[in-house]
Amino acid sequence: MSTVKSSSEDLTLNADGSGNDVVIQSNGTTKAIVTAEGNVGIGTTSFSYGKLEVADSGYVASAVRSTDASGAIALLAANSSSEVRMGAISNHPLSIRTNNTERMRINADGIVDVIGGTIELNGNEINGVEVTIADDAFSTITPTGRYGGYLSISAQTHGVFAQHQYSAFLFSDFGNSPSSAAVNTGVNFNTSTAGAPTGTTGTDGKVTLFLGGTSGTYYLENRIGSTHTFQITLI
Amino acid sequence: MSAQYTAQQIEGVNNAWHVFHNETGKRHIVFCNENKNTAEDAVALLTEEPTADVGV
Repeated sequence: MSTVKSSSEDLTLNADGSGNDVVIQSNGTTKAIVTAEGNVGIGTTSFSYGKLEVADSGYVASAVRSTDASGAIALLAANSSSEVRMGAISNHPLSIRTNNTERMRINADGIVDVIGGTIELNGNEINGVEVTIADDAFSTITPTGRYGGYLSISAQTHGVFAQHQYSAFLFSDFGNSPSSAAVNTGVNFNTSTAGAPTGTTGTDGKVTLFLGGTSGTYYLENRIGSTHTFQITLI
Repeated sequence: MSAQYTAQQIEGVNNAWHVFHNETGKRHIVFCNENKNTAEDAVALLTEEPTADVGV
């Protein structure tokens, strides 16, 4: 084996002269290239789409992996003419970010979370969240860019057993004169326009939804007597 | 605190926590009672919630 080595200073591989590329070959065949224009190619010497291109026939993948124990492995691949793949090869969640803030997460078990944002279907917003609320406590939820609308609140025991008595489907009207109109509410579900509660403002043994006036904020107070989970969707 | 979960307080909402399952990455939002409002309390609420149907 031959080695190019520099022990005491930087090592420069220089294709000197205008327009000259640095070409890496194996057995006389080019495997990688750094062009005079600054493009980097693996399996290709022509560039149509970016500064870094990886090309081959059939299934072509690039991976980034952490060398930590059970480290995460990221994948970006093109599979012949059938599909593009991106995500985690390893058993880890995929975090999708903008402005260096997580916006969407595909969990390792396949559940998709939209975090702090809004889902739109053809421009129609659907705001949804699942919250767990301690007894004698309340959640504070301010949907993005929305002030009221039809609201579905489904109480669940550990997210499994729906509890109609603590659930509701209603219309919420925010503004200077907030109000709500029930389509269907359970016997132990109340509504109020009194603004933010304390955790013990509503009737003991019941769930109370408080509307936050012009803020567009919902306060859901749990006074059931134990911790409960609620699926809340603004349609 | 359960080693299965990690809790992070949600900025701007005093009693709200993000609780992450360490293996699956699944995120839960938990609202604590203001008198019991630590990371340990948030995880406990999630893990100690009754799993049976309460009826009615």
